[in-house]
Amino acid sequence: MTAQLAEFLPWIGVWTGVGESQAGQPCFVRNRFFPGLEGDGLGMQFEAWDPGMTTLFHGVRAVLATAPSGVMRALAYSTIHGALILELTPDDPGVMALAGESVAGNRISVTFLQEEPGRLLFTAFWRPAMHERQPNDGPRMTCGLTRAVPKRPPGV
Amino acid sequence: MTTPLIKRFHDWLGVWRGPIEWSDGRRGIMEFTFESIFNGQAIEVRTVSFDSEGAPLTRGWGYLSLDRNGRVIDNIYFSDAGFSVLHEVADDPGMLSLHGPLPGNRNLDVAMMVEDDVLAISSRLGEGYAASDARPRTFTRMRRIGRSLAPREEAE
Repeated sequence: MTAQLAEFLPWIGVWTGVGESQAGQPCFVRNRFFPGLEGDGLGMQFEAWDPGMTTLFHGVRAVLATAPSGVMRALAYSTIHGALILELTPDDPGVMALAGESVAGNRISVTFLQEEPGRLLFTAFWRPAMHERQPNDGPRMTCGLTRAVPKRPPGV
Repeated sequence: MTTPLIKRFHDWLGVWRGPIEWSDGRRGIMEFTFESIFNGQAIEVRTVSFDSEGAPLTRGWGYLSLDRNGRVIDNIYFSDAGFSVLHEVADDPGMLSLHGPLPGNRNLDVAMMVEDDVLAISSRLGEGYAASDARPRTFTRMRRIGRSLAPREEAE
C-alpha cells in the first residue's frame, strides 16, 4: 500500500449529508469508503438520492488503486457516465481530487476535502464533451458529509 | 425488471475459484467475484489470485457494462498490468471476447465463457501494434463456489 492511499484509510466508513445536485435539485448523499483489492485499494460507493430516497439521481461505484507505474487512479462505473478511469491529481493533504474523461468524452471532476475530523466536503461537476470551454466554476454538486455513527442506547 | 446486461450474464454472477497457469509458467489459484450493481446496470468484477501458501499474488477489479450498441465495455485494473478499457470483439455465441490497450505499447486480449458451471478465462498480453497471436496465454478454469443460482427463468 502506498503512503498516498494510506492517507485516505481513516475515511473508511459511511458518510451522509444533504446537498444540492449540479442541476440544482436538493439531494441526500450517502458515500461509503471500504477496503478493496485485499488491502491495496480503497473502494467507494457514492449515492445521491432525491430527499425521499425513492430515486437514485446518481450512483458511482469505484476503487482507488495504484498502477505499476505508481500513478493512482480511480476505476469506476457511474450510472450517468458509464465506465470511468479518473486520475488522482496532486493536492493538499486531506484532499482527494479525481479528474478525467468518461468513455463518451464528458469531463469529470470529483473532490473530497476533509474540513475537520468527522466532516468531509464533497464537490463534483461534469461538463459535456461538446462544451470544452465551459468554465470549471459553472454549476456543480456540493454537499457537506458527516460520518454516520450507530445510535447508542441511553446509558451505554 | 432484468437489464439486458443481467439477462446475458446472469449465469456468471457469484464467486468462482480454480487453478490458473500464467503465460510465464507460474501457477496459482484464481478467484473471480461477479456482483450486480445499481439494479443490474453494471457488474462489478473483483479478482484475486493466491500462491500455494495462500498469499495473494495478483489483484484485479473491473466493471462490465453495455455501450449504446449493446456491446460490452470492461474497464479494468490489474495489479500487474494497470488500467485499461476493453471493448467487446466478435466471437462465437456464449463467448465474451474483449480487447484493449495497456500502458507501454501493450495490449490485452481476454476470452471468457461459462459452461456447465465452469468459468473459463484465457488472456494474452501483447506488445506493439503487430503483436503476435502465437504468444503464450494465461489460462484458468474456475468452478462456482457456493450453490448455483436460480434458473434464468426464475431470476427474471
